[in-house]
Amino acid sequence: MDAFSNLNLYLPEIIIFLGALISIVSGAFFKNNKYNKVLFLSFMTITISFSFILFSDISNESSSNNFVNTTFTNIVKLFVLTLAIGVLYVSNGYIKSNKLNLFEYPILLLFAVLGMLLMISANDLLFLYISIELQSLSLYVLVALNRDSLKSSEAALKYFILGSIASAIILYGISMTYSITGTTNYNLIKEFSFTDKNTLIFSFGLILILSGMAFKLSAAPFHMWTPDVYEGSPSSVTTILITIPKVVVFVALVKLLNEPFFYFKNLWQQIIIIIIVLSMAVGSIAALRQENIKRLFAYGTIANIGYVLIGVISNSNQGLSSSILYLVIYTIASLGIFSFIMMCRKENSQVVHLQGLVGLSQSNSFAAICMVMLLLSMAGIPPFAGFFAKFYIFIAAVESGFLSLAIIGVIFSVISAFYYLKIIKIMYMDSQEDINIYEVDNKMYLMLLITSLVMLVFIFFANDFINFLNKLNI
Amino acid sequence: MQLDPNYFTILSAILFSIGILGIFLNRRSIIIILMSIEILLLSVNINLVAFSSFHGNLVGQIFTMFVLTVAAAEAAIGLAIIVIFFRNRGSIKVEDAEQLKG
Repeated sequence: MDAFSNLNLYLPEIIIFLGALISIVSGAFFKNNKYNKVLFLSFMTITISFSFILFSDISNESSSNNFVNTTFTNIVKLFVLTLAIGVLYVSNGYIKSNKLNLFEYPILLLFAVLGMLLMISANDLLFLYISIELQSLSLYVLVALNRDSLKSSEAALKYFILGSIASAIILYGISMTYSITGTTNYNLIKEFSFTDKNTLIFSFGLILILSGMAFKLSAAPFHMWTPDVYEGSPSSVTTILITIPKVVVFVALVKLLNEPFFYFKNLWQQIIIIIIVLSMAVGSIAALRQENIKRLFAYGTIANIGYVLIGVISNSNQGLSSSILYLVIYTIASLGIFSFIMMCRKENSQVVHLQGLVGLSQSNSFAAICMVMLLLSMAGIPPFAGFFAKFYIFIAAVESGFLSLAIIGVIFSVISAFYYLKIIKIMYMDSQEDINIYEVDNKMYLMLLITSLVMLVFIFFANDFINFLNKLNI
Repeated sequence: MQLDPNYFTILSAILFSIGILGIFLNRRSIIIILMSIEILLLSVNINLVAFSSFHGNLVGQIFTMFVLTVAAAEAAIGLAIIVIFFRNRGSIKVEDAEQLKG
């Protein structure tokens, strides 16, 4: 009975799993309107799981050897589930108008979310690997959701091949760690690496795992799949890819670096500094010449991941909490921007080109204003949330002695402001011959309004939020 | 008699390199890439099983079971994606995956 005594530890995950299974079976049995019914079931599942996490009590017993729940992991899980609900809610109109309303879409998202929840709490390399695979395999299929589109299937093919290589590299790193330590548990590996300084193979394993995780985060130099996959996949799936996995993989990476590989800080600090500088450079410079909206934001993601990682190398808790702050603001802004991209339809096809946004300020001034707030926030212009995100990140960098890194960050931040402002210029100042009429979708409007209000109002809560994160003891 | 585990490390490293080279040097069929991914995962299994025996605990062998399962799932999904790609493109050559770039 001992194996089942701590079953309530996994209760939110088990609920998601059962909900996904029930959704599959009912999706196969419903005669008509499958998508809506399965979507409703998935909403229910996520809500029930959400409330179980919300009311679970965190005590010392709430962890086993390979699965650890803390207040911080619970908050991240709540955020992930909220994002999942938000994405499902906002993509409803997009899915229907592009005739992608297959009932597999919410189910695959549920399985991906299951993998993500497990990854957040994982305290064992075996657990980590399985959850990464569960997440990635679901996402490969989601990218191929538009079966009849060549771009979608090609994106899925590229994502699958490169993602599998990354997973295999993580796995090889794990096997190297195992070959030295004889265990996969984080705590035992940490103890072992303190006493035994068999560093060569150990650091080899660390480098392999770190590069695989950097791939999953789409940090340069492992970013090459990002623009292709983001462009090719349906916009609703791009919304998923650009928001939720980033948060989860980042949290897993932080835990990985600070627990089993804590004593190798000198090594991974240097690697991550290289990753940061490359990501900021590639993301900011390559985005300058992009004409496709989704490609542009794909490069924007790469640059943002560079900023997020700055907090990891700082030696303080403040650094990590400013990273989390950045990640939260970045995901919320991305959700808003992508609900806008999903909304941009004219003549029965999605707008994919930047020039398709010409004259938006006249045809749809409300969406244009919301979009301006989101873009200014992404660019880091003061009254908006993105400014505070970057501000705290640079403070953390300076306080831990990485002044040059902060200066490089500011320079690339200015460069990336150029292409965010370019979109605003296209929307407001370019002249156009014909007025573009966009189809109005209330759900996407609502999401756009909420996210841009968050960007606007954040200034009043910035201090409280960062204090709250500091107290969490990540 | 117990073999030196270093032999297994070298064997798995060689197999892993073959897998990586197979992916990046291959200019023909995507199926070959799928086979190379399989080699990558199996080379890791050799490492895990050898060191499971060396350390005298079962963690590595249990890990191997999970890796085999994941490899099967990955092959299934990979083949499915190749099928839909073939339906849309009419070819599964590596150089024919060229729609997305920039």
